Amino acid sequence: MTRRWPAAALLVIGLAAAGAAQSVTLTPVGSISGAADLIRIAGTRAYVTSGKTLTLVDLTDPASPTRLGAHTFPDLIWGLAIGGDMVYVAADLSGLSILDVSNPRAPVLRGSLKTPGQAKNVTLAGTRALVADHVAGIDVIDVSSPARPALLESFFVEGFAKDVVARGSLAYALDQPTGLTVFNLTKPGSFEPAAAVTLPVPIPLRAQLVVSEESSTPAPRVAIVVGGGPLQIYDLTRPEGPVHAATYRTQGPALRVALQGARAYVSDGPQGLQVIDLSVPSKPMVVGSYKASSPVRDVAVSGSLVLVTTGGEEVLILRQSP
Amino acid sequence: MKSVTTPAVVALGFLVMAMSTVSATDQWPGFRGPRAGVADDDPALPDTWSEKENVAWKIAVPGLGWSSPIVWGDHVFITTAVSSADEPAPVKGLFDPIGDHSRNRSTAEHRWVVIDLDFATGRVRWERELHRAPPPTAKQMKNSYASETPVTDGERVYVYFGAIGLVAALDFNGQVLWRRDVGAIEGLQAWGTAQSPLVYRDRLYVVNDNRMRSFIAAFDTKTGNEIWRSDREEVENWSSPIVWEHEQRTEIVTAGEGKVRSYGLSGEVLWELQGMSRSTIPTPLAAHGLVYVSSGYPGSALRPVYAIRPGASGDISLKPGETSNPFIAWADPRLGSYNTSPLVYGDYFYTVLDRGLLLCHDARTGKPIYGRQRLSPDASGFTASPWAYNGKIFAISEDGDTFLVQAGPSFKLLGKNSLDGMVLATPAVARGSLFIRTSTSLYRIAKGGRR
Repeated sequence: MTRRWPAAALLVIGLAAAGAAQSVTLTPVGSISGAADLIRIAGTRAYVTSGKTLTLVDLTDPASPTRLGAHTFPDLIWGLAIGGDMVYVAADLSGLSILDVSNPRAPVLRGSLKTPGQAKNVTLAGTRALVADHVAGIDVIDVSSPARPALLESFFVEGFAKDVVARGSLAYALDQPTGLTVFNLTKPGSFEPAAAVTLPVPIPLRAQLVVSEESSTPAPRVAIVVGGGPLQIYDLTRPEGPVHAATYRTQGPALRVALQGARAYVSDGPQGLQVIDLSVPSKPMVVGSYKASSPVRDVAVSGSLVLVTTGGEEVLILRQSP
Repeated sequence: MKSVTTPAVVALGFLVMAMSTVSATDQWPGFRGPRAGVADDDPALPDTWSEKENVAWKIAVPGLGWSSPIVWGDHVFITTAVSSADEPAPVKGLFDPIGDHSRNRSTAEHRWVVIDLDFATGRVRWERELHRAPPPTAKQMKNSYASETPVTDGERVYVYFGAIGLVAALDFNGQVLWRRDVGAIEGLQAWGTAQSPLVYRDRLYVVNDNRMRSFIAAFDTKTGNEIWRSDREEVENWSSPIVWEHEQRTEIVTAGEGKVRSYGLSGEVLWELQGMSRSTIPTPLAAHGLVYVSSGYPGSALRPVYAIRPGASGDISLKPGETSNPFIAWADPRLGSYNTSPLVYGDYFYTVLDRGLLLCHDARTGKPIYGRQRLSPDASGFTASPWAYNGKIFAISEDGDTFLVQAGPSFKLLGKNSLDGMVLATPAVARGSLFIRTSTSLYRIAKGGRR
């Protein structure tokens, strides 16, 4: 792992305009070299994808990340979900793959299922994995036996299913060009969603949906859609009934986003990383940013660590405060 | 001679009358047959089949072609493109090919071939090679280089291979009567071609929408002389033209992403309509005095079906908020399917969504009869268009599974018949037989496997 970042670029800006929201300071502490498309964190481990390959990296010492193992899938990795010792990978035409990472230095493929469509992302709901399967909608897959994932049913969405997030008994699905749909997971196979809203701004081929975790914190629950355009923010005060709160344009293309509490961390391409406060979902405010030397493509947050992929060339490890 | 009417004679008379009302579809001359997938009722037609059941014959088809078989009398015609190399197999499933999955450009020599099979036995009567060269164009990984269904007028069989820009006519002995080079044009996406030609009276109509030089052209069926040609401002489409005969006139109707256009038989545009999805694939159809056009690219917000009345002229596009106007009887902005063409059978308009869902609407009014009903939770997708006979709707998945649904206002799944092999070609129905083409074989399905 390399540690290279110009001292001059370390800085971080808290914006006075943030008003009551607390400014965020971001400080580089390390980096993971090598090509990187997507980044996730779980515990002290980072999961970095590049094309068809998933690499596990130990972040116990963020200043000195250590590469563990890797696995190459048959197709492009569009998304992944981490559940205990298993990583669920949405890999395009090859569908869903389940990778056992209990030995992170030697990941083992436990099972896979060719889905009817083109797996774009995956989320976990108990012993089920939900796959955004492009033309085929949202697949519900039994993963109770990782060696034998089985397609149970699918939810219909109008367009290309691009992303799906499970929260409690609900699943939120994003479909191109303008669909945000809520499904009740207790009504399997139903064609009638609990709610469906039309996005004010159509989404492009690459789009992402994030949804606040269920928690007891006072942060408002929101869903955010990004994909190269504005942030389309929905208030989830009533989880089964998203209400459009704001359409917010960052300075850059807002490629992907991660949520932590009331903060949204936006990979904003050439404009770097933007941290946006959503304490009032209808009034997003920038409370921090970090300009990297290359365009920021993806972002992941865990505790005080913020990881961003830059230029497809490396992962920068930042520490935020507060 | 004194006439005697006995009970037996009366019974025979009723039998003859009854038989005369059962008019089986004898010919299937082009893509989807004479009535857009609807075959005449015929008790001889099969309801069930498998690799072993009700198979009159099964033959191996060389190469790959997603064109449908056509039938005229004892002749069953198919087209194919045969590579000299091992080509990547087409991939089942529903996907929007991008990146690695986009296009497939073979450098191997291919042979473009027309084959005539004997209806009764499947024996190859003749096989005619029309061209041999590496393909000058690329194709999408699911497509073939022979996806346009041939068409016949009972005298000649006409083929169009868009991949090589060849239009040709052959007689029923396999002799090439004429051939015309209309240019092999690669579309911007390079996903290949699939717009089937159309015969009406003494004209052969060919459409190629490709974004670069889209056109419709009419050829003399006897000589191959080009009668007229009209440029089309169109991007890539895969929808085939149809002829629409009604009391006022006869029209050639074409559907495209840019516009639906109707042409007079001399090539003049009669009317046009904007408001289609991207990548228009379904072929229009005429029924109940209406012509139905549709498109359903899933990534488009507008995936419409329009039912159009005869007699239109000029621009008949709907204005924002409208669902009908004097020439659009009804429209549904989100009913269109992506690959499959719709089916009108009896009073109903059936839509098979590519992911295995069936919907039913009133064909005359567009009123929903039933909403999305699932044919199969795990099918790879539906690309072939549905067909109907004997009160049943048939939809075949890319897996080779045909789902039988009761026709009418209530959804009832009646069964599933499975064959081996991938299916994208729309089946044909003629003379009490069903013809199903897979990626490797052609089946004639008939009750009892009769010859």
